[in-house]
Amino acid sequence: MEVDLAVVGAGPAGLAAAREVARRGATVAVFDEHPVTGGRLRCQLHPAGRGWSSGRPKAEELAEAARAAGARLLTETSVWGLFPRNGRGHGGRPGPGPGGWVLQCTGWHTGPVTARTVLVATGATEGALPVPGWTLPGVITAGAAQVLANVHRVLPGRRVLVVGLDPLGVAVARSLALAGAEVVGVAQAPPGPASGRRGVPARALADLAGSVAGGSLLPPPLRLAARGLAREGLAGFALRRLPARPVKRWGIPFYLRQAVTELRGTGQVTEARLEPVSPDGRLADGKTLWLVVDAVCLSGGLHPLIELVAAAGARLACVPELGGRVPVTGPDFQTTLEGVYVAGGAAGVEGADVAAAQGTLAGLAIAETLGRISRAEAGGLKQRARLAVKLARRQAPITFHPRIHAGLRRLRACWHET
Amino acid sequence: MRIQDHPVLGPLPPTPTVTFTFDGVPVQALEGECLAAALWASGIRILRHSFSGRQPRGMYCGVGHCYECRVTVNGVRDRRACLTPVVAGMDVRSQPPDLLEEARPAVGGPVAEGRKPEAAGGADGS
Ligand SMILES: Cc1cc2nc3c(=O)[nH]c(=O)nc-3n(C[C@H](O)[C@H](O)[C@H](O)COP(=O)(O)OP(=O)(O)OC[C@H]3O[C@@H](n4cnc5c(N)ncnc54)[C@H](O)[C@@H]3O)c2cc1C
Ligand code: FES
Repeated sequence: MEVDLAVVGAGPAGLAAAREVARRGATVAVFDEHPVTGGRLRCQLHPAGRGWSSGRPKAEELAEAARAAGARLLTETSVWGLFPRNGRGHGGRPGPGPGGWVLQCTGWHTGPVTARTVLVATGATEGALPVPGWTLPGVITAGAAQVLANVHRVLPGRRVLVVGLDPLGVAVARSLALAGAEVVGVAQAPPGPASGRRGVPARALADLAGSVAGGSLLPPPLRLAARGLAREGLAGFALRRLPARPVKRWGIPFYLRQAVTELRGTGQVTEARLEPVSPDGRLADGKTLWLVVDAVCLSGGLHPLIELVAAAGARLACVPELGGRVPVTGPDFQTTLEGVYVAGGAAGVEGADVAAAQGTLAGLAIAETLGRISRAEAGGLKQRARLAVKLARRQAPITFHPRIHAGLRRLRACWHET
Repeated sequence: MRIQDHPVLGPLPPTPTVTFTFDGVPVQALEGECLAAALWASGIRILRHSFSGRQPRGMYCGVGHCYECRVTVNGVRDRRACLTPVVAGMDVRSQPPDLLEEARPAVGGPVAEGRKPEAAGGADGS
């Protein structure tokens, strides 16, 4: 197969880019290892304003628009390698491929795909939150609970514990309660280095308060103080003042002063141990609790899924505000590899509307590279697309990492250094 | 544990059901859904046993990233249950460690009888 643009990932970013490029007459193929298109947007259901926002109709609309524009959507196909077409990079030194790129696929479509340009829109992945017993069946990630409940309409459990105080954990707890589960609690992540910032309750609370939607995700009495709580010192101070019992909100007990330290069960998870933890993430004296559960959702944070473009040799930068290691990108979402672009979660973890807007911008830049739009025309269109990204960011119903603007500035600085 | 009525997503749309087998036992699924969801809805959470320690394992990430959910489908090993759509009549099997034992010894365990030592590779605990 030979195409002008190969897109890896049929989430909002990949679909929006495919639409922009295909409608200008270029040949576009979109690959996704899932049987259905839409990426994570399909399973999203989160509190927005006074109601709830479901991603499914938006995902279907984006896929339809890409298809109508002439893009081929190839599902159940995993892309496992990205190599320069001219042969370099196969065990040798990776480098830009003036002759385009070769994607190696497996699944429904098997074999190499040659592409003049590539967009890596592989999205984000969840971090691990190891705790003794976490391999027991019934212990799943927060994202898996989203997929089960919102896509497959299967309740993850009747008595569910959510571990990890972060925007996704809180959103998932609320959506499970909405779907009819008894959410027996949202508890702090186990203390220790493996939990990262969320293993330190004061940091977890400050990060939650500092994310745009964080204020609305906080249980009272903390909600009023959301702005101040975004500072770790004040968050720690507030935690110390809280009573040992959980704070209740939306019918869900928030164990802000207890961390999960063990999961137990035979064959599947049935019990979770909660122990008092200090705001700076050390086990403290106090009562140990055992909660009876039939499912546990671990929310370990979101990180860009960048293996494909990293292995191809793109320069990376560590930007914690964007979720960790991200490809260094320019203003058009181009990477340091000629003809390879990234957009959406793989370029930095943000919400779905931001991902779609980034995909549109990357698509315009790719259409320009392919000679499908003139430089002059592209200039104006990209300017408008850049504003749309900013607007989407400002209006995002959920954000995952605080201080995103600082992260973006640092990433741009890295680009100018290259 | 199907969510029949969802306050935001509405009632479960009528979907034809199909039957497949898991370790020989018939399981009902909604057409088009993935194996992991169908099994979870039927109360089956143990999809395989770990190679070392023989601990039960099930779905973890639900989106193809972790490979915790691998099962044997129509004789093909290591299919991710969370990405594999159900097809009527599918023969799905949990992966007993014995399957792997033919190739590799269990960690810390005795090397299987009659096996040539050089055939013994490293084993991961997953
Ligand atoms: C668990 C989780 C929960 C989230 N919840 C929310 C939320 O509630 N609200 C919100 O706004 N944002 C949420 N997000 C953020 C999410 O990343 C964005 O909303 C948005 O979906 C990103 O769009 P995308 O197109 O970049 O990637 P995605 O929507 O993630 O799509 C990426 C696609 O790429 C495919 N893919 C990846 N690698 C390969 C490969 N090698 N070969 C083939 N296909 C591949 C995947 O199958 C997937 O379909 C969540 C993210 C995660 C991980
Ligand atoms: S549950 Fe993670 S790959 Fe299937």
